Amino acid sequence: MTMLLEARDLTHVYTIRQGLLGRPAPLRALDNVSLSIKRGEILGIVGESGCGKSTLARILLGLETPTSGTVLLEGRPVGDYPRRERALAVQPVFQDPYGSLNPSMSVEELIALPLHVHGIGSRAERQKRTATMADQVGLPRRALAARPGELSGGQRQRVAIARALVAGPRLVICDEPTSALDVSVQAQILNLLLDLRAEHDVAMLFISHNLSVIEHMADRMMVMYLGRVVETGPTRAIFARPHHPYTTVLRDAVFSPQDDGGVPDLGLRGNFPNAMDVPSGCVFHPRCASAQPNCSTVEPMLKTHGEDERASACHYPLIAG
Amino acid sequence: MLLDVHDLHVTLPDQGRKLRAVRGVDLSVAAGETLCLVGESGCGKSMTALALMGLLPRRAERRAARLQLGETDLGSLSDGAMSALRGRRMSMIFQEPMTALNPVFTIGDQLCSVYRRHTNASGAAARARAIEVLESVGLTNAALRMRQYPHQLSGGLRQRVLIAMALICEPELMICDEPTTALDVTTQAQILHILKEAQAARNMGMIFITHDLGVVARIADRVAVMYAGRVVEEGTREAVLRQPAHPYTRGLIASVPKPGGGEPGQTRLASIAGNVPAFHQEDARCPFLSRCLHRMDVCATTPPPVRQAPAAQRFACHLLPGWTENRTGVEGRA
Repeated sequence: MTMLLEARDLTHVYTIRQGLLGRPAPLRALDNVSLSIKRGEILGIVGESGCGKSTLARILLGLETPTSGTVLLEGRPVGDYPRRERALAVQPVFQDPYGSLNPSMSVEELIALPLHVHGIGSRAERQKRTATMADQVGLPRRALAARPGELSGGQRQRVAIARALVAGPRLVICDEPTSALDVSVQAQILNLLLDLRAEHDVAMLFISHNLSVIEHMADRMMVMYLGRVVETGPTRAIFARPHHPYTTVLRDAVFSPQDDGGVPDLGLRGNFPNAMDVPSGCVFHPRCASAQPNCSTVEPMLKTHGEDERASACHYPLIAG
Repeated sequence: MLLDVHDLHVTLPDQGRKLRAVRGVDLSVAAGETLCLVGESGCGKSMTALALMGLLPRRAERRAARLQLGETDLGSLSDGAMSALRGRRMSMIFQEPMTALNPVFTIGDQLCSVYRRHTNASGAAARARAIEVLESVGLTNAALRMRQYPHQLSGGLRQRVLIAMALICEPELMICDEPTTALDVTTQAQILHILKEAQAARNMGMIFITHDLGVVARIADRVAVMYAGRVVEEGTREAVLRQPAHPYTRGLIASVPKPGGGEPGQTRLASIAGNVPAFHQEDARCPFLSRCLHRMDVCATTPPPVRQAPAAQRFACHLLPGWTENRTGVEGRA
């Protein structure tokens, strides 16, 4: 079966000039990242600022062309798609529901916009579809006439989700969709996304810095660090036993209300490295509590360690025995 | 008691109407204790902190039956006296360290100016003190950092500089307003670690404002949950997080995704329907009424009484202490 979306060996290099007279230097935002998403699947991507997760989202949305590597949408290179056709298949939901909605349009116009752009249906059909979509995301009918400025953050995110889904995309790329929301509203939006997935069989790439949100949402997940994938596999299996030391650190850094016992020492050494000056060997080695001498010279490849569908990039994966 | 606040109100004028941002808050903090002030956007937690610091917007009105820091009555202090006390006996750190630091002065200049404002230390003594306090918050190369500008530091390092600035005069009370919300999770853990160490070393009281109940579980001694300008539940960390009594607190805790909580991608979270009420609403009813799963007729007509729950925390609700949810509904309705 062909994958809905497949990305192979994506590398993306930005050229950054440091200071007014500085010489341009390369910044590898993505280094050999591959991923695949099945129809109706949620793939979670977790990592901290500077790990490349937003660059990845921009490339998959077609907003950026990777320096090298290919993206296949239903087996066909994404570059071969006309822009509109690609937009019909892949839609975004961004973190900031304030910045991503045109403030001068009404909620109804905003949700209906993709239908207009793609010339879907008659005027009456578009109106009906917009109203149904608004119902599905839990927006009251009276909100349709409102401007985004009159809505709460949670309601704006509902508008963004309705707009993303109204034209029936096969993949929605959600970049930190709940990070700007209160927890009770976050719960509403996460529930909504899961309901919509069940109803429309739409696949999602779900990007978050919050590992517990990823654990809640994603069927499979990928952990990124400095532009590289350090661990990938089924969410359940990774949480049961992370193989990469960085995954363990991320897991231990997420606190839950049921926790106890003070702030844990994560065993992280040093500070987050400068992305312009990436460490040699394993990029995580200067911070890793279990680093050995060869970690600073030999870069570990992403490979499986006994369990199918799982892989990690570590010379000394945390595997029992 | 280090800080003792009783019946604090903050009112902001708004086009002829009054926004009642804080409505009768009682708080206390002992030396060495961490009180977490928890709630969602607009619940009044930041306004409460600014009211304590005397940093409210100019048009805002503050009144309180009692506002004591140690032996000092904060309510009766002049602006000048308050300004002399701020940064020396109580200090505050904010969510966004970039906006709290001045971009055109070096880290060293900013730290020394705070110290010299409150002491008659020489320039050299202030520099020595600044380096000492930077090192105490885990900044390596403190002498180099002193010469750098805020934009040359990462978010985590900037937040350490702000903590150093807040600690430089050894305050009795430190107020932290969401200091780790803008940071990565691993940096958050490091900053919380530094704050708790600094607190223990000085036996300092701390008010920590956050919306993150996971952080509360890790650092709080006591917790006050705020909703619509009021404290709706207040007690020890164990009581409030393990045996929450107010329906809002229960809802908040249930809406956080739990580690190991069900099949990924298949489990629904409990959520609190609706949104927070408007600031103009009067006190004649329970502010949580429209979102509460357990509302009764009395909730619409009478403000909720403050009751003592079985685990000894206070909560403001018409439900009886020890109310329970079961399959057929709620037991313990008044």
